This record gives sequence, C-alpha cells and structure tokens, in this order.
Amino acid sequence: MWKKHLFSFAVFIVITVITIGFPHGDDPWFSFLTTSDKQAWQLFVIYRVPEVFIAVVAGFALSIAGLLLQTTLNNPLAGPSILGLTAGSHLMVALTIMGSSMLGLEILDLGITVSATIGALVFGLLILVIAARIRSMVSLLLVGMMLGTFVYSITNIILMKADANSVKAFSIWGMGSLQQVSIDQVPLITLLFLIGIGLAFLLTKPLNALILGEKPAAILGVKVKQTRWKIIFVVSLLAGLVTAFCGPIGFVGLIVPNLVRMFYKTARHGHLLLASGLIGASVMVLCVLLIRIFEPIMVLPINSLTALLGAPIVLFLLLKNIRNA
Amino acid sequence: MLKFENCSIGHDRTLYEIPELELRRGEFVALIGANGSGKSTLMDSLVQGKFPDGKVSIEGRNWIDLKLMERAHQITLVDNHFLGFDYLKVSEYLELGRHSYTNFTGRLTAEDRLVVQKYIQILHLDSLLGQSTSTLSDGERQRVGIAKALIQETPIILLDEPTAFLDYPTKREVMSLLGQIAAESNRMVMIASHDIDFCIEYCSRILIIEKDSKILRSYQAITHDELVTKAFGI
Repeated sequence: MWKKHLFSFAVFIVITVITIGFPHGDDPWFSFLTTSDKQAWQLFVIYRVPEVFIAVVAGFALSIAGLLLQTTLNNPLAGPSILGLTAGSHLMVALTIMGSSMLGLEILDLGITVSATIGALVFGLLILVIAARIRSMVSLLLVGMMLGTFVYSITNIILMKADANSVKAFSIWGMGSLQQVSIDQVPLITLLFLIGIGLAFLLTKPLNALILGEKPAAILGVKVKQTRWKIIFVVSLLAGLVTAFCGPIGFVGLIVPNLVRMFYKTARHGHLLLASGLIGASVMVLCVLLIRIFEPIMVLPINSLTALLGAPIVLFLLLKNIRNA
Repeated sequence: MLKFENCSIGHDRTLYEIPELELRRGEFVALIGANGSGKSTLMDSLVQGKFPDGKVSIEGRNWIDLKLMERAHQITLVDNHFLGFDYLKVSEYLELGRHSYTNFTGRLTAEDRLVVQKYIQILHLDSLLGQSTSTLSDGERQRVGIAKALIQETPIILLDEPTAFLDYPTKREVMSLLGQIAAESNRMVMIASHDIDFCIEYCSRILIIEKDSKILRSYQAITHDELVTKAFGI
C-alpha cells in the first residue's frame, strides 16, 4: 500500500513542479529561478504560488469530502457538487454578498467561508434525511441534482434584485477560478484546511465500519447517527472552504474517490483518505497546467475542465451501477 | 445467561410474547416461525437493545441499560444480506470484527491480530484473505461472515437464515460448524431458519413462534410434524 502512496506522491510532485515551472509567454522553464528581475520573482510569489496552493487545497479537500459522503451514504455516485451541497454554499454566498452590499459592509474572507459552510451544512443535512428514505443510488443522485437546480434558480432570482456591484462580484466568484486567491489569504485557508483534514482523519475508524451499512456498523459499536452528523460537518467545512475561495467546482469530489478505490483496492479509510487527497490535489494541479498550456489559444474555465474530465467517469460509474443492479 | 421475562416482540405492534425464557452458553438454538412472524424482529431488538415491554437481561444485567460499545462486546449478528464490495478484501472485512476493541485510530494490536489469525485458521480461510469480498461464493461468504462474528468474541452470536441460498452439502457443513462453535467456544448461537429438518438434527434447542397462540416456546426435542403444526398451523 505504501508503494502506491509513494507513487501517488511522486505523481503529485512531478505535476506540481511542472506546473510551477511552466513557462509564461516566451519565458524559459522555471524562469523565476534564473532571472535576476525582482518583478518576475514577485509575479511568481503573488500569482503562481497562491494558484497552485489553492489547487492543491481544493483537490485535496473536495476529494476527501467526496469520499466521506460516499462512505456515509453507501453511494459511490455521491459528491458535494452533485448532491447540492455546493449549490447550498452558492446560495448562502449570494445572500452574504448581497446583504453586505445592501448594508454597506465589507465582506471578510472568513464571512464568505462561514456562509458557504453553513449553506453546505444545511443541504448536507437535508440530503442525509432524504437518503434515509431513498435506497436507490441513482434516485438520490437525481434528488441532489434537482435540489441543486432548484437552489441555483433561487440564487438567480435573488440576484435579479441585487445591485450591479453585487451581481458583478457574485458572477466572478460563481464562474469558479483558482486565480482569485491572494497570498494574504493563504494562512486562513491553510488553518481551515488543516482543521478539516485533521477532523476527517479522526473519523477513519467509524468510516471503516460504515462501509458495511448502518446496521452492521451499529453492531460493531459505531454510534451511526452521531458519526453521520460529524461527517456532514466535516464535508461542509471542506466543501464550503473550497467553494468560498474558488467558486463552485464540480466532479472532483465524485470521481477521485472512485479512481482511488479502483487503483488502491482497499477499504481502509486511513489509506483512502490520504490517497484521495493526493490524487485529488494532482488532478486539480493538472487542471492548472492544462489551463496554462491552452492559455495562448483560449482561457479554459476550471469548472468546464473538471466537468470534461469528470463526466465520462461518472457515465462509466452509472453504467457499471445499472449493470450490477 | 440471556434471560427474557414477559417480553413483547414487535416494533409497531406486538407480534408475539415471550413469557419466560433463559438461554445458556454452549447452546445452539434455532428460532422457527412462519414468514413475517417476527424472527428477524427478535434479532433486531436484541441487537438494538429495544424491547417495548418486559425485561431482558444478560448475566444479570438489564439488556437495555448496556451502552452501545458494551452491547458490541456481548452480541453480534451475521449479516446475510452482505454481498461484498469489489474493493473490500476478506482480510479487511475480518479485521472489522475487532472494531470495538481498537483505539480511536482503529489500528489492530498484536493481541487483536492473534485473535483474527486464530479464527482464520479454525475456519480455513487462509486462501481467501487477499480475495475481494464481492467474488466469494455463497458458502465462502457465509464462512467469512461467521469468522467475523467469532473474531468479535461475543458470547451471543445471531445468524439470520444462515443456510438460505446454500446447497445441501454446504448447509450441512455450516450447521455442523455452528454447533461446534457453540459447544467448543462456550457461546450461545441462535439461528433464524426455515430449514426445519436441519434445525431438528443439529440444534440443542428449538424456539417456535407458535402460530395460534402468538407465544414463543422452547423445545428440547420435537418431531418434524409437531414443529410444523405449532409453527405453521398445518
């Protein structure tokens, strides 16, 4: 197992180093290391480092959130975006931006993060209640998608009433981008990320039992209800953090845990959490690299890119699920 | 060890009563009744510690006062509906049997590993350890499920229809194994089953949910015809 982790870590390092060193315009590779130009170094620190940093955080956090959801719902098709948690964050952030603008208040990063987390938490709990009544994996997926569509519509209606500045701020955020994070925000993001990841790893033991289902886990001594509350809180914190700083990013949380299970062939969540984090981070950094490669031709939105990579895998999982059923 | 006094069994309505019953260690008990009579309900009530009326006690302690973790050390249920997952190996599944004994990390101690290894050898599962739980045959899955229950080291083991879906030789093998476990490891093994002839042959005690009186009664020896009459009213 540790050989596989080493491999995943090596892949992550290689992709990250290539992305950091990828030339901008006519510059050579790793130009920031060789140049004596102070401005080039500053550009690197101000723009490139935060972008790669948030890509790592987003990939790590969303993949772990997806794994937690999939285990607790016993549904490999679960993920924060597809089940409407991201939509919940979307709605709460819209309300926060609009409310702050109306009251003439400055929006703090922490405020956006808290509202995004609360949005995800509310919809996470709603999904938990619905999942207790719906056994079909595909039906739950459809409910989540409907919930998401419903909430996005409410958000759009709210925005119709908003002032131009709020609409602009929200539209930029809503497109999803890894370039909105500044170096000043890194400490806050790091702190919240480490808390979320730490809490997720503390859930390793009950997660191992929960894969068997609610009743078998209770027989093994797991307080199922309490554990699910904890899981939804951690998922909301991680998904809310990413949504607050990057906007809604889809598919990563759904596909990465499935890829990890296929590659690692284990149900031990200590390994699955670590592997999901590493591979999720690699996938997101790879997206940054692809954006840079295509930059001279067009600007690829991160959301479209993750959907392009994720949709075929989701389709494959759906077909596999239908065939097994 | 497990004592029932004036208990009603049923979630929303009473399905049957257990006036008085005491089950002891070393017994291999069959629970027989018609479809929907409440065999699984009794097992669920025991596992969840939920009894609307009466008193259930284990070694003198009131069953409903036990905490979840204490119950996990007293009782286990072999899940007949578990079909396995592609990514869940047999070894990982068996290790889950030690779940209630490990610390917050879930890591097995040397002692836990010894317990797991002991039952792997007893049930001859060495060759299956690296295999995915989704690729096991019905008989193998039953043996693996029983091994996990044994690894949990509870004095009470419940099995809901352990011989369903098995062919004739495997049914014999499983029943013989369960009788052996009850006798040799000093545990009380209770099965809910429709294989009445096997139950008469292998079990030391038969519990029948009587169709007419809606009362659970215990029999040490009973003929096939008597059992059919009492359980199914035929």
